[in-house]
Amino acid sequence: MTSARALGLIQCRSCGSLAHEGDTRCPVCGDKVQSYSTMSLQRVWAFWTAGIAAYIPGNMLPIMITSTPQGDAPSTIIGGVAILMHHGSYLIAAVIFFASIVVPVSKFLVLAWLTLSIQLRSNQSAHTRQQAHEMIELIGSWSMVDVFVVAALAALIQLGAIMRVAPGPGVEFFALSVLLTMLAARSLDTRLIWATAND
Amino acid sequence: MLFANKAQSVEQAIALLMASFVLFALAVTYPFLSLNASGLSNQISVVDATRVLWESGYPLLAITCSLLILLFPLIQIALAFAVGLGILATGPVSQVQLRMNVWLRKVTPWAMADIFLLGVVVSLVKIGALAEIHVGIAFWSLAALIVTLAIGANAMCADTIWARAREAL
Repeated sequence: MTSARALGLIQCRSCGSLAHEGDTRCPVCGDKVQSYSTMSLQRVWAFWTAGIAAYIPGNMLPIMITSTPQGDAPSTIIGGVAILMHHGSYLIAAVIFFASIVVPVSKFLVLAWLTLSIQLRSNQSAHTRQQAHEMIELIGSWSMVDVFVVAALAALIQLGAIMRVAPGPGVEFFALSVLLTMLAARSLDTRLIWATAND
Repeated sequence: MLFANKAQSVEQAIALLMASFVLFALAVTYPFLSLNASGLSNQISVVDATRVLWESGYPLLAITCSLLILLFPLIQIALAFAVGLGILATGPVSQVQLRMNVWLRKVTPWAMADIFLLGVVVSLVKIGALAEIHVGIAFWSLAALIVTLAIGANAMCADTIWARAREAL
């Protein structure tokens, strides 16, 4: 297969048109164009590392603190899942477990796999890797659901001395981790998958 | 299949996006949820959900959530609407229309009104056993907004703009 770069062209990532080598703007849509470079992978690793660094306190620290006359009860993400299971809300427990644990962890793993596969010039199917990237872009933002649960509960449950809910420090780290992994996924220039597969 | 033309889709998309504007206005102004427990009650709007984060000492998170839940979805509706009008209009495609389509594609992944609604549904299940919860006009408006925006933004073929700009080159 002939690549655009071999013909002295650059594919625009916004509209798919082809620009000439040396162009800084796409002649069709006007967005910035740049031929792929391994700088993209450095950005992926930077956001990836920062995302993991934020994900750990996001899970260890309480995301929510419930205050009742009996005292303060802090709860972490996984603790919240356990409470939901205890109350028999298995569907909601599964939603939170999927969005807060399964999605972020699989994003970290898939991004590391894709980036390493480019750096090590793997001959795995480029098509499969492209689809894996589209999948993590699609599901990435759903991890924010637990952050919004905390915001909604903290706003709603303000019943004076009876019961109050406040956000905990973990929620900020967790939200940061979700946004950083979204940036990591967007930083990966998927043209590199095809470029290294072509060689 | 790479692309397919959608008959009548631009008119439908514009109608749905106009509805999205109205639903957005209702979703941010009307009460969202109200709660009754042991004689005490509390009523919140969408804005309160972000304000509580600010008041609890998380101003950065409050700003981030306001962008994701309120500002980015509004920008998405406005840009999709403008791009739709651009497709409907005949004549040369302006630079501004092209830039708006570029930005529409960039803002869409960060517009999280749908995820916020899922978060609210999860919280309702969490506290449903503890208190009596009523969902307000804003809740149903947000739910309807997600449907009209998803269909409206996808019904039109935004790439038509690129094809027309290429022809003009």
